[in-house]
Amino acid sequence: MQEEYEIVLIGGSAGSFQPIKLLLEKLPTEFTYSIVLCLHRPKNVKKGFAEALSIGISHTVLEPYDKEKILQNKIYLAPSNYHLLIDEKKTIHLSTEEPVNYSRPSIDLMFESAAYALKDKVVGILYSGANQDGALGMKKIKENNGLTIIQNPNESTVPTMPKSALSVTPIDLVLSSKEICSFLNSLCSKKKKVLKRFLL
Amino acid sequence: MDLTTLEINLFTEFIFDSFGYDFRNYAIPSFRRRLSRILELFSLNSLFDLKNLLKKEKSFFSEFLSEVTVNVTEMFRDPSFWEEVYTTVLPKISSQSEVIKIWHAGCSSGEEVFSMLIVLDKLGLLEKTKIVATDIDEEILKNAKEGIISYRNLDHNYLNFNTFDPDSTRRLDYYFEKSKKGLKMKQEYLEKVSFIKHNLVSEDPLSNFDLVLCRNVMIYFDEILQDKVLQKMHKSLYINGYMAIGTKESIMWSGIANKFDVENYEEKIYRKTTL
Repeated sequence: MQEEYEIVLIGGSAGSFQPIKLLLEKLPTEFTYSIVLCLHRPKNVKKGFAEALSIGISHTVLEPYDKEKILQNKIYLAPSNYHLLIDEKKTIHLSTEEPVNYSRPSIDLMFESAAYALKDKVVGILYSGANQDGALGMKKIKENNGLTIIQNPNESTVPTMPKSALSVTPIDLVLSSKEICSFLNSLCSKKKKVLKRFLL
Repeated sequence: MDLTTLEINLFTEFIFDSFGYDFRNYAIPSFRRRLSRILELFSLNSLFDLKNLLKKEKSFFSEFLSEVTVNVTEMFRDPSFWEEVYTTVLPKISSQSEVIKIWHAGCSSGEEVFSMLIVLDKLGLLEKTKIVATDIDEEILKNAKEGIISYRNLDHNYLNFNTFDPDSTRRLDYYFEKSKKGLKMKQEYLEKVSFIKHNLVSEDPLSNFDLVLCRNVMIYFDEILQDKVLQKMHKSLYINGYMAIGTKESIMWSGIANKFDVENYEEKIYRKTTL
């Protein structure tokens, strides 16, 4: 049996809300993977963010509880002021430990934990942002044979974050936000090996 | 980060056998991070090296303990939770009990305890309240006892407090005095609290409380240990006593879930209804 990508991890900071909102809007109503978002936002913006992301899309963006299991065809958002880690069973573990890259949730921590636990089942996507969070996480995803995608820095409102990723690790795909949409749509139907051929 | 689960399990067995501290049911992903951090901090290459260091220098263990447990906390974390404590929970307890007994389980450096003291003061309930605050880590308890908030952490503490109580007549400064290391909570408040070393994982719970708070402590445990700790908290409460857990923690998968009523779902406050 051929394996599929099972989990799509998305990191974003300044300038990422619009393209990520677009991505969620373009998602099919049914998809065969799970999506977990880790987005930087001011600490006092606690309520309403998941709701804002959910407007106009066919899914509800969930802010998971500690030890919640990640399910297929669901979208999760790392809760404000917590790190989100993922284990082998796709269970979510929250943590209040020190911010990493001045960020809690930290994209690096989410990417690294999932890369370690779920290896080549992971797709990491990094969008616009003003700091370096996510870059080392992308490296870990790549090292564990996952797929790495960044929003094209030329298109990013603040290119620092995708550029940082490029500077520390090979990136499989540099795509515009529209291309990321079509990619995630194609991911739905295609098995991984077919997909890899498609990428070449 | 690349410590394997097997390595970690062998290490926690070693810690349990040698020092009696039981980390065997800690959540692996966050515990892996803590251990990686310690290796980095002390320039060690592997858990094997850490094990040797712990064997050789017994005194190193307390340092290890402080680093392996997460001691990041802030005053009035989740201001809306504190609003609920202020407007509903404490007034209700006060109306049903002569003395209010509160347990902060896993109090770390004490910020939550300081917040509670301020809320109690605002309600005029300090006199009739007894607080016990416990933690596994003796070093961090010393900090809590001192009642100091370092200057570099002041901003978000102020922000939280102002969100909790935008029109306060007694500003946060009222409760503190300046010291070298940071703002120090006034002794008249701190003396209401007994800070005690207590291991939530291995020891029996303390008992006869009206309110138990254990917020963002159990997130570092696996489901089995979470359930065990929830059983203990249940046991520690009077009937009609309240339990508060972190706003992103859940009791859904625990056996005690049906022994509590939900007092406030958003803020994760429960009331014990059944023995």
